[in-house]
Amino acid sequence: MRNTIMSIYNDSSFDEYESLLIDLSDAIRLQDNHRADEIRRRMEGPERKLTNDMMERLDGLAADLYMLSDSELFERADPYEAVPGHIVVELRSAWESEDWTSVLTILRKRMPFLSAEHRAYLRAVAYDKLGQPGSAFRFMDYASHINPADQTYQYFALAYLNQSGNAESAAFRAGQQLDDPKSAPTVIIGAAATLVQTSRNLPRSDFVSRASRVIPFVTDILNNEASLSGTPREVIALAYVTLGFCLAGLGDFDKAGAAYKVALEVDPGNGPAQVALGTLVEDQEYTNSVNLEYMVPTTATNANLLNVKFELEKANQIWAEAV
Amino acid sequence: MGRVFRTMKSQGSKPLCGDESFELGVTVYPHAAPDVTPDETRCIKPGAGGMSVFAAIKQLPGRLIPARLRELYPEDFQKAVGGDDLTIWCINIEHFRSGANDLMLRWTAEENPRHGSVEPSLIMRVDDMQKSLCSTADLWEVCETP
Repeated sequence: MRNTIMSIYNDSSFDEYESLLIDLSDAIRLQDNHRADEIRRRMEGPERKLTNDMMERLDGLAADLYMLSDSELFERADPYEAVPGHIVVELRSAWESEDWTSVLTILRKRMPFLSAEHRAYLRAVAYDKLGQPGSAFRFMDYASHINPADQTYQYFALAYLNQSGNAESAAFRAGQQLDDPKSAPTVIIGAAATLVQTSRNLPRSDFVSRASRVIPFVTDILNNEASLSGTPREVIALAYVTLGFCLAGLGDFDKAGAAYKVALEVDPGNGPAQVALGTLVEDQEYTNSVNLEYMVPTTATNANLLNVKFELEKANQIWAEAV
Repeated sequence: MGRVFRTMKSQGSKPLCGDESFELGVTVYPHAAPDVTPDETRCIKPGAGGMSVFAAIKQLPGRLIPARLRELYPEDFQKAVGGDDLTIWCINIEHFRSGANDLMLRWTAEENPRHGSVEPSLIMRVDDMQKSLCSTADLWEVCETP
């Protein structure tokens, strides 16, 4: 079952066309003309059901996806906008007013002072906000490819991949990040949370297997105070909540409850930890087993809160560098 | 002079006639994306679908703009992801004035104001409609300038 969020259009033709467009972009990049032609033909059906607004958005995406093959072409900025300060103000204003369509439009203009890495990041966030995590993943993954040292990109790319409903790929990537010795604590914690989230529709035995795998990684990080230096408290709370879910899933309700309480000490008022603690008590009283249905959305909510915080920090860094 | 635009394969200096996508003609059910669905007598009625055309070249979806045009017109064709073996053709809409060639142009305004379809102007067999459409092959011109 897909746990994908629908685009703001909430339209299956839009989602199908978007997915085909991404596949077409890959086929063009790989110069696989036969596959490209086949995809173009398949696009005809959903295309007929799209409104003008939808088509405009998807045509914009078609242009943006050329970025992934380093062959993007830009529109000329008009004379006013051509002054770097002006267009950054315009872009920042659109960003801060959450006018994501305008953000994408402005990013199609020539802005030599904005690096490809930052352009990809801004695009990824805008597409995510517009309910297109599949597209968001492509751009964030590209930013991560340009600058692998910035682990914020890896964190977001995994979150978008998970949101796009591709649970198997997200779990695989999360596993790789867990095993990568170069992964920063934030990336490890995000990967651990993703592995838990993507176990939602799996047999319980698979959840137990994943929980057993995740626990040592999260415990190591939480036991190493030095490695957590500078890590946002929300991230540390997410680590405790994820640890609690795993422990509860394995039947250790006392330790799970303790983990949720520490999450609340670290980040007082942390919603997911509060819900998890309440659910844990109910589960113990009535079923004596943890309820995965509650567990997964709660972890996802916590991850989304983190996204907002990271987005803000990263955007402020980009504006400062651009100006 | 009003014109409509359609992306098609070429045969010499004309669009290629046929019943597949990107050809001068209609796709017919059970094609994966049929333009028309004939009744049990293989007839189609006016107003029940036809060959897609667009009101302006800039209104073509990126899929219908050959990617080779991106470099030539980056300002207008950033979105071009169409096959390079395709050509954008146009025709004067006078040729579809009701009755001419037994064809007429209908704008699908409510659903998609930039899109129209060339349909039969009277009930006709689908084979005859294909012939009528193909008979316009000499009237189409290459129009690839935005």
